[in-house]
Amino acid sequence: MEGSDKFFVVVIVMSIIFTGLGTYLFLIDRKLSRIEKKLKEFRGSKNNDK
Amino acid sequence: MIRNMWWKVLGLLLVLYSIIAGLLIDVPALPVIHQTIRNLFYHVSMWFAMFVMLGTSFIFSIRYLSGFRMKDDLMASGAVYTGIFFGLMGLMTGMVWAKFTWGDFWTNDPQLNGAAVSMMAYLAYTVLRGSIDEVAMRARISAVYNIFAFMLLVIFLGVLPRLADSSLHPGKGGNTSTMEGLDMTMRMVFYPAALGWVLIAFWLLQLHTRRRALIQGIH
Repeated sequence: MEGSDKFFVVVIVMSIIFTGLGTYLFLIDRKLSRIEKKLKEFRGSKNNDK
Repeated sequence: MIRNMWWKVLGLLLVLYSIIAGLLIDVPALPVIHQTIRNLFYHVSMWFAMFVMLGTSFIFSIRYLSGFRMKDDLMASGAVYTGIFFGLMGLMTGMVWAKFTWGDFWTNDPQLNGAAVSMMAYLAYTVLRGSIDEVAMRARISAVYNIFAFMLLVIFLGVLPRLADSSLHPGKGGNTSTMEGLDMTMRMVFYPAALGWVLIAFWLLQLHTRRRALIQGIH
């Protein structure tokens, strides 16, 4: 498309929003991994007690 | 970290690329649809993601029935929920697109009616699961139903529209424009977009199942 109508600004805004959503997904992913690790450690320590 | 995450990053980058390139490339001048042909990158990708999710669910349902492992049931049901999400997105985006090109939110098109019927079949899956309290029975019955639902999906979205007399969708019955008519620049955006959304769908599925596995204590 012609570059004269500032359309690229809209493209940048949409890209920022999408990147933000992607970052949010990564944060959820990382948080889940931490909880999973904690649960694994908890299960491991419980088995050692027996 | 990088070993497990690369496909998630790839999915995000591909979709980001499709947003930027999809809006900036020159598209062929077509009657009626004009600039809305760019919707192809976003609307059709939703259906690709839905189909892959429901196909994944189908495979995990078969796996569940051959081994009765709760993890397979978790994957199968999670994939159905993710698939329904993308299906609803596809329906909504398609309705808006149809309003401005075909003149109505809903037209009597075999592809549209097929999508509606198969979405209904999968919504029935969620109702079925919600109505059975006993865990093993819920898993077994919904797995059998899911295999049946996927058959319906393939017939209603893949077979019947192609056999129909007339369809407004390219490549379907009576419509002469096919994917072969898609110009090269558009393919360079469309294929990455579809792949990107499929990867993101798998990511959402993984997050969904991991969360539920934590809650239910399945590992």
